[in-house]
Amino acid sequence: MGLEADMSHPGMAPVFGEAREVAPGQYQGSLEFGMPGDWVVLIHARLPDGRTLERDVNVPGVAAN
Amino acid sequence: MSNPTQNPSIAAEPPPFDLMQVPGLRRLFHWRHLRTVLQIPLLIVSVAMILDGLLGPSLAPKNLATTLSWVHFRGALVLVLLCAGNFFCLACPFMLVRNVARRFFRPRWNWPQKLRNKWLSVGLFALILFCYEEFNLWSSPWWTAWLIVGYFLAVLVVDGLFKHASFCKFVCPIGQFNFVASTMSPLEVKVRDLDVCEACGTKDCIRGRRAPGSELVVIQRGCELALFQPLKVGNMDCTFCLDCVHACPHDNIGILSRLPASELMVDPRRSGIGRFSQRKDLAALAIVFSFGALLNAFGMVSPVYALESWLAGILHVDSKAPVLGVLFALFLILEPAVLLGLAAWLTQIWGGSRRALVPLAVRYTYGLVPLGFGMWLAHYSFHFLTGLYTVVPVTQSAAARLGWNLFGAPRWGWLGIPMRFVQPLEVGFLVLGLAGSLLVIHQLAESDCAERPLRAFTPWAAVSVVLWLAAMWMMFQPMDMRGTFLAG
Repeated sequence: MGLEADMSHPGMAPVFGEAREVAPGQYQGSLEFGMPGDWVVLIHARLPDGRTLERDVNVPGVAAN
Repeated sequence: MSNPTQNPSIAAEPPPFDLMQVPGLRRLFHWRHLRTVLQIPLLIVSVAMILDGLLGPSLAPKNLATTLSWVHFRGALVLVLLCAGNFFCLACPFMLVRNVARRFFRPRWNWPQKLRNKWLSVGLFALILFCYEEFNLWSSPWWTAWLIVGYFLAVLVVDGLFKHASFCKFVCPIGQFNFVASTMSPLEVKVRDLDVCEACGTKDCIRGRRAPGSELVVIQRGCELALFQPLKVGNMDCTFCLDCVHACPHDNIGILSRLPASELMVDPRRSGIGRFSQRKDLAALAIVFSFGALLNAFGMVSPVYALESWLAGILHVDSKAPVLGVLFALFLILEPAVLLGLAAWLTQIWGGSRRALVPLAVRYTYGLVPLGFGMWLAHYSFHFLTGLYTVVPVTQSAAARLGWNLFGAPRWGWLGIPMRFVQPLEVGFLVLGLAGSLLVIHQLAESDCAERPLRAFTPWAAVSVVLWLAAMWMMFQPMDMRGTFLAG
């Protein structure tokens, strides 16, 4: 399962990662946000029947460490 | 009026470079359809941006409207202004639509006398900066698309009702930005030989060229912005439309080189404008341009959120608009009033200037334009250069939605020039801006207070340095782009 995170501002560096199945139906992966701000995580998955699934999750207000 | 090339005191100076004398370019710039040919691709791109903004992905980095507007257009605009001149107004797609519309609807009225100044456009310029923050335009393809649609409609309404280039001269906020920024450009549409103009009996550059035998039929319009070439000074209000070039029967207008910002150092009566020192509205535009540059960049660094949270606590509000309203009032009204008022007062009592306080502030405000331009350059070129190649995957993706495969899958990993290379360039732009401001202020002080120029120079130089330090501080703050108010 592919992961991609984009900032809300265009032109900024996206980050990419992968999620792996850790239990039936459960996937885990990690992404390192490169900058504080609003991010959107995009999940790209391919279902067993070949169809693709796209979902996005808002991650607002990421703060600096 | 004398021909500068025949003046013995400056005879040793080399003649200015004329872009229109470059082989190949001469015919190109004299081609009547050049502007239309430049406008058509930009119109097509504008339509694509509107469609993608309204119908395409809602995520800004994946959409043509947001990517091209907030990364590529703004960056290319300031870099072209820095390196050449106001060529974006030349290629303005809004004017193409207007020109087509005017084939069917002739405007009947002249622009109202009371609005023949920059106050309306200053307000609109500030309003766009406000809306950019309030509606997070950078993150909203939908709002960005409607902004472009609104622009087309505004052009059609204003120039559909009012004659000449009323929209460009009195309304267009992008145009006002370009006019002020182009005072820093190295090229200017200008008369080659003033003696030729003195001998000219037709003044076609302003009246337009008439059909032989019929004074009422204009076959080539003159300047729609009321800039009479022999008395035109600098780039203010010039859209580089080249109507004057095409109208001049003597081929006496070129695109000449000059010292950037030199037009800010002098204060002659300018055709279609008057004296800068007597134009409070133009000074207000210069203030919004210069202080707005800092405010716009401040909106994208972490400390702004701490300030917004603090202000929201004081105001007991949890919505963005009132907090932004206070921030804009602080940075675009109160801060300039205090800094410029103080500097003007010091120039009066210390430098011995005989001007009243407000005219003094108006005169020196133009000295901040180079610094403001340096900030816009640093900010916009950062997004442009670090996101330079993002146009490729976004275009690929937009084409894929139409069923066109452009060179395989979108290359979302394509970005631009690494930040470590761009940051020194940003610092360079800011240093250049400060140097330009100090130079302009010095020239103004020399002509204003010939006996004690240093005393007139110092307060304004101090204001420039304070603003420059603020800009440098901002440049090294962590970027933080949020649309979510008071989050985290």
